Amino acid sequence: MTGHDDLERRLPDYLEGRAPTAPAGLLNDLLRQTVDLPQRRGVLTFANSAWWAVGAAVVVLVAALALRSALPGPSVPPGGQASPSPSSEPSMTTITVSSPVHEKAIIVQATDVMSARLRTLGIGNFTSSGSGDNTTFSFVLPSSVDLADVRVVLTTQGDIEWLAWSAEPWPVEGDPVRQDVLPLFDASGQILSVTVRPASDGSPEGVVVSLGSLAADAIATYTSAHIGEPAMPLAMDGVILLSPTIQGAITGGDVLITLAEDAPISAEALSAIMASGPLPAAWTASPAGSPVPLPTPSPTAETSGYFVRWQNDDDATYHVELIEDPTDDPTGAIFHPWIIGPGETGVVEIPSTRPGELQVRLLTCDAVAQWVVQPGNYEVVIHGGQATLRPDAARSSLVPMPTASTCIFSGP
Amino acid sequence: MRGDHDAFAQLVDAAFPKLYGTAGLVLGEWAAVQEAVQSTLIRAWQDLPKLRDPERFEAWLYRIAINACHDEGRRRQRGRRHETDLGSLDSDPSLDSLTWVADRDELDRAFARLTPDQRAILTLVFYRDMTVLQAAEAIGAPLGTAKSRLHRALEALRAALAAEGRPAFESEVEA
Repeated sequence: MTGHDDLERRLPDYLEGRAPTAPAGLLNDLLRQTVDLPQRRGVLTFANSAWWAVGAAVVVLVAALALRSALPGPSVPPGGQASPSPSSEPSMTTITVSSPVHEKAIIVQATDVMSARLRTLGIGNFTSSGSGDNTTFSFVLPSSVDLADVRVVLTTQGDIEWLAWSAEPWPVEGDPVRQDVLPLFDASGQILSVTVRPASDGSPEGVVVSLGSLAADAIATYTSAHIGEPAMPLAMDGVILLSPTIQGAITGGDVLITLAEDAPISAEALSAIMASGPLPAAWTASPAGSPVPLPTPSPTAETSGYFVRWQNDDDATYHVELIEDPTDDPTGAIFHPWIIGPGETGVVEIPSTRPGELQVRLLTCDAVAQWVVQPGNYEVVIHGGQATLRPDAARSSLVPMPTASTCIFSGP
Repeated sequence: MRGDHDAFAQLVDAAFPKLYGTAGLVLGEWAAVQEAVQSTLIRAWQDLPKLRDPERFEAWLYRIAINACHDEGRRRQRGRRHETDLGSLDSDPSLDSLTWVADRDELDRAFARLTPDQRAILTLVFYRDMTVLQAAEAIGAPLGTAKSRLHRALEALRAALAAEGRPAFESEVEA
């Protein structure tokens, strides 16, 4: 046996000994707090759903549909595609989305999901900033990404369900899901991976979804009993998205969703949504994402405020945050964490030129590095497990620069 | 609804001790545990109608709990100022009976240096005795991610122990 094995062998005893014991009566106290709380929307009561089986499956869904106008979520703005001319400087696109809820924790959670969706869509470098219920994403739109898709992934709730629609009348794409129809399985946690399959040889583009064993087995069992029927439609946010006819028993665990050109959502957007999970609710977007010039590293570009540039050279993802001065909010800085993935760069503009302290904080899940600096332009370089704060040499500052400092932290 | 709540209470009652212990291990700060557990139960009760399969109740509950731990951890971090404390596990006299008590403090410090994600995967697998697949479902990650996270968590723990000056129990390995 190796030392490593020994550590793993001892961990259960160690953790058992270190785990706290719940105080007596705590559970009853907590349960009393829940009994009068309303429950959220759902189509099932608690006790009626022990109906689905277990197995392994492949689903091939081939569908053509035309219900773009029927899906919930924002409409794509006319001419919404950002299209900087080839000769122009790269332009920054901003999209502001508004939360339907006012709870900060939910907004933060949703921003994490939106950020993951943007990365899946192919936008690796972006910044997000929050103000009240609004979150603004700024990025340079890659030529391979459609702005309409960006808006869809930032606003669509994305609650995906494969339905067990086992009897007539059969589902109609674009119609709402009947309340008496149950999902075949709980998709949360069962979508293991999602990839876009490009169009080829006359086949439209599609989305390949790898499902967990519970979902795969449920599909295998179900489809074997419903061959020749459009009995397993795919729904998103309570609306039938696809309703293909089951061609045969589906086994293997992978699902191919094929989308027609006039489908209400692109394969790229659907893939990003399915891969990143649902939002707590549908968000709304500002009317249009309007390209604005990127700030240039010249003194004139800095008269509107300051910049903090984050460069993550590590193979890890970090949460970073600017903290407003709680006494005066002198910077108007962003009170919102965002995520800088491996190799990514983020730039945050602090719009106010009012004097005052700016607090910059980089945090991982359990470590915090924090600097309190005067307003100015800075770089935060994350490299080799260290975060280094220094003046941004590329931008001349309007105020004295602080002394460079380094903080070591433990990364994930 | 009363019946639903009774059924909910019955299921939670069975899962609660380990759930509470898991939250404590993930958060590492006992003061935060009750907040996280409270929000877990509230969220679970409110979302109960969305649960499709009662047999998956516990995995579903743990997923809510892990998310609640992360939220609570972040909330507490945002409330801190000028801190670099990683949190610490309170001493538990019950461990004194263990033969490897000399390792405990080092392991405490090493475990506290892990990220909540790492503590979560280790806790689910080695304390809650979940398979990696079950743990993946509980943390809402693909199986491959859970496997790599578990591997990295163990490596991080070994590295942290090494940094504490003790090479991961090697002196106690049986022949």
